[in-house]
Amino acid sequence: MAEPSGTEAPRSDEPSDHDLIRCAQSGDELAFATLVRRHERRAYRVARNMVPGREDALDLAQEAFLRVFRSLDRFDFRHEFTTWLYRIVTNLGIDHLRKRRPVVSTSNMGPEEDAEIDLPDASVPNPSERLESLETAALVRKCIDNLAPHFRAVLTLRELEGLSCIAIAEIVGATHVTVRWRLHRGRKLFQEEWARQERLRDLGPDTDSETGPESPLDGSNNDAGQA
Amino acid sequence: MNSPNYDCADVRQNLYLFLGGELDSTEQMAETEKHLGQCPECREELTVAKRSRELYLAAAVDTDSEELDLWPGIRSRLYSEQILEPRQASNAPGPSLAVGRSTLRRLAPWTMAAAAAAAFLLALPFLREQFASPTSIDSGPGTPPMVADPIEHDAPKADLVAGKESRLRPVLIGDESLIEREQRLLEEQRRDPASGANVLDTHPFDSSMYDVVNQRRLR
Repeated sequence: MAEPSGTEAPRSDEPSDHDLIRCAQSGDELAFATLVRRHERRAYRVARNMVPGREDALDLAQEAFLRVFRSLDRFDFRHEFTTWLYRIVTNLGIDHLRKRRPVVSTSNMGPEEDAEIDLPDASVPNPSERLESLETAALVRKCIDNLAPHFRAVLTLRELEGLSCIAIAEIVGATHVTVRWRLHRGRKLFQEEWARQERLRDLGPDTDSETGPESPLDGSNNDAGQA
Repeated sequence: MNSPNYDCADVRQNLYLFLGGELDSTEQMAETEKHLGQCPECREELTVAKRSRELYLAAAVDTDSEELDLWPGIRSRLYSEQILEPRQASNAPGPSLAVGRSTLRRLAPWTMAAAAAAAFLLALPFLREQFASPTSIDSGPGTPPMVADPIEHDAPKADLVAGKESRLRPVLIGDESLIEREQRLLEEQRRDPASGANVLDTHPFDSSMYDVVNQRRLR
């Protein structure tokens, strides 16, 4: 489990995010570089836990900062920089997932494609130690990947970033009530998908083709999977 | 406090928010806890939900152990898109926030206007010297301002007195400069002492000097 990291807040003797933005708005490249270095891990962490591939996550985090820079003149100093950054990253992540969703259907994956499932790095002890096995980890990732993007976004922001529902509401542009509903629904869908994946695993490797393609867990009664 | 209507359906509806500590009120939290203490079926539901959440958290990708340096790639993109103009290579940001390590092309219009105004103010003394009428040049305290005589207009007193090289045009009276004329008058007075006042005792910009000059011219 990744601990909710909270913020990579500047020390008291360091310039604030708003100070850095003002300098960057005046043409200070160094200030923007400092802003990137201060928040790159946060942006990457969200991206990495929203989209499956490492390279995609890196591209996404980089693109987020490029968008920040291009719109720096329009930054509203009434808000926290991190709120803006989170919003850009999650929107990019959601767009990315929506684009790739028709392509990904884990139940149709062949052995080669299965090998590309984003397994946790075995050299990193934390996740794999807590999980029963790499197989379990892969199955869990598959369940997460099957969640609809907007559920994945709020779960990442809440469970991994440790943000409040009110902060998430501001980031995703929804109401506090909607965020709570998405958290409730996202966790429930994940649990149901986990139960389903466990059943499939217990039944054996040939059951995937019998159960048909998996439908995205978007919270709706999607019958596409039975087609 | 404990609503009699708060049953298993309510608890299961709130179970996932209860797990995440996101229930709206402490009252809801208390009622859920109380019900869970009394209902083994709901407790079993809670156990399953808790296990599921633990799996989700355990599967989170640990990014803290990864090397990460996005800035070089971002900077390259900004350079290639000509949003940022390289001036001085800077890969490692230091504590300073010195402005001017690079030039941004997308500076706000007011920033450009302010810079232009500042440059104009800095250049103002030079502009004044270059283009202003000599009448505006104050020679110093106690010096009478140059008057509207065309001769005086063109007569920078300090240059004449000190013999310094001046960037201004020499004062011409007819075809000769004031200095040449003074030297000629001096020579004439030396040859003919009765011709008038000693111009050397006269302030070069005293109108009496010009009386002498004019008298000489009339003769």
